[in-house]
Amino acid sequence: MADYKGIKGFTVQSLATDPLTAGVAGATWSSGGALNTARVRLAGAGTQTAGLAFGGASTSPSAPVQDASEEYDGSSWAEGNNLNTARRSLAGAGTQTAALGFGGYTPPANYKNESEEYNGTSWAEGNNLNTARGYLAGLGIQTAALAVGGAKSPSFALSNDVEQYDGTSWSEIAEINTARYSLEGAGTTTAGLAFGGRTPSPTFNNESEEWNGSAWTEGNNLNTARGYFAGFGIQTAALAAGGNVPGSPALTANTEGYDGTSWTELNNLATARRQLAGNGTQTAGLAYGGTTGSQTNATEEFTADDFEVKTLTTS
Amino acid sequence: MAYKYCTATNWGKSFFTHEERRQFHLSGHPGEVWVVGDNLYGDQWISKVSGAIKSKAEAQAIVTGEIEAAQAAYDALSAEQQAQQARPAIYNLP
Repeated sequence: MADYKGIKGFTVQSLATDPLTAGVAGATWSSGGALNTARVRLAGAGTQTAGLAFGGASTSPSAPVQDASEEYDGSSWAEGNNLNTARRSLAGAGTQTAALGFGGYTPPANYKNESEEYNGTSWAEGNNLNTARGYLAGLGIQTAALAVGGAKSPSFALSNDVEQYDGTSWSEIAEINTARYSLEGAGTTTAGLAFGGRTPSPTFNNESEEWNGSAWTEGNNLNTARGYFAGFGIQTAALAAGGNVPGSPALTANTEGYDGTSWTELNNLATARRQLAGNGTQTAGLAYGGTTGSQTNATEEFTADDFEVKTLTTS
Repeated sequence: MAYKYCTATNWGKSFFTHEERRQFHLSGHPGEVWVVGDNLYGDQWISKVSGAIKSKAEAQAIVTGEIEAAQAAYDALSAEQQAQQARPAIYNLP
């Protein structure tokens, strides 16, 4: 018996849904395992299947800052050993088995310079930042990290300070062009990216700056200015998700990807939130915690399908 | 776009999948309120998560209540802490 291909010359596949868009443009956020401790203003490190969340705070004014540290295995979060110094609004860098947590803030008005190293089991004290600050960005790995911008004493002064960690000590290097806080970072100490943040309240920042190992230069701006968001990846493939934005309700699910030149809109988080954290890559990312109005322990995984769209030709 | 409204507890992994995100609109809101695209796939998801169907007004009331509680928590913060973040704002569900 002749089949459809034999009669018409080619077969047609019936799809229940629209075909996927290739790569990161078609990536979506799905639910992941919930943090054991819901919190805001935490930090993260690692990958989508080997993540690390640490520090933070409750939105309750009476709740203490957090020292809790949790490890993600791609499905669920497990309690690890705690930070030595509880704090919020700190920064992170590195991997689940070689992470760095630094800076931060504890109310009222205590800016932190402590730097701690995680070896996959416990946190150990490292040498301190030169400039104590919170609300800063972190990027890189445990032995080659950057601490970028933030807010410092006195009176929540904006910082454009940048320090580099070599695995032993922090050294001051060239400053970012625009001082800001609640920004995010991505990349390495030779190819870094700092983006978003806030300048004096209530101004939101959409600027990106690229670091080449010796100087910061302006890149193209985020489409949505934001602070208190999740940012991660590398200089040529970074992701910005969620955050605090102008207007009401002052939080967003918006996600953007940077390709080394410009920011492009991507599929949104399922749950809009701010003061969240994230880690991973542009094609395999993780976002967790934050507040939707009330604090959340929800995790979302950003995943780009690994396939290639090809043009079908018939003759 | 038409929506349905439900409450459901996010159990974590696979509560919503990448495939489901492509099949229907889904957005989460305070109070475990979910706004779901009104199509076959959305209906299947509500069933999967044992969602409790709400009217839009009921869902809005839950969200508003949660945000009002967050506003009260914000109002109890010190002036310095308030200056570092925006007061949670009540918004309308789509």
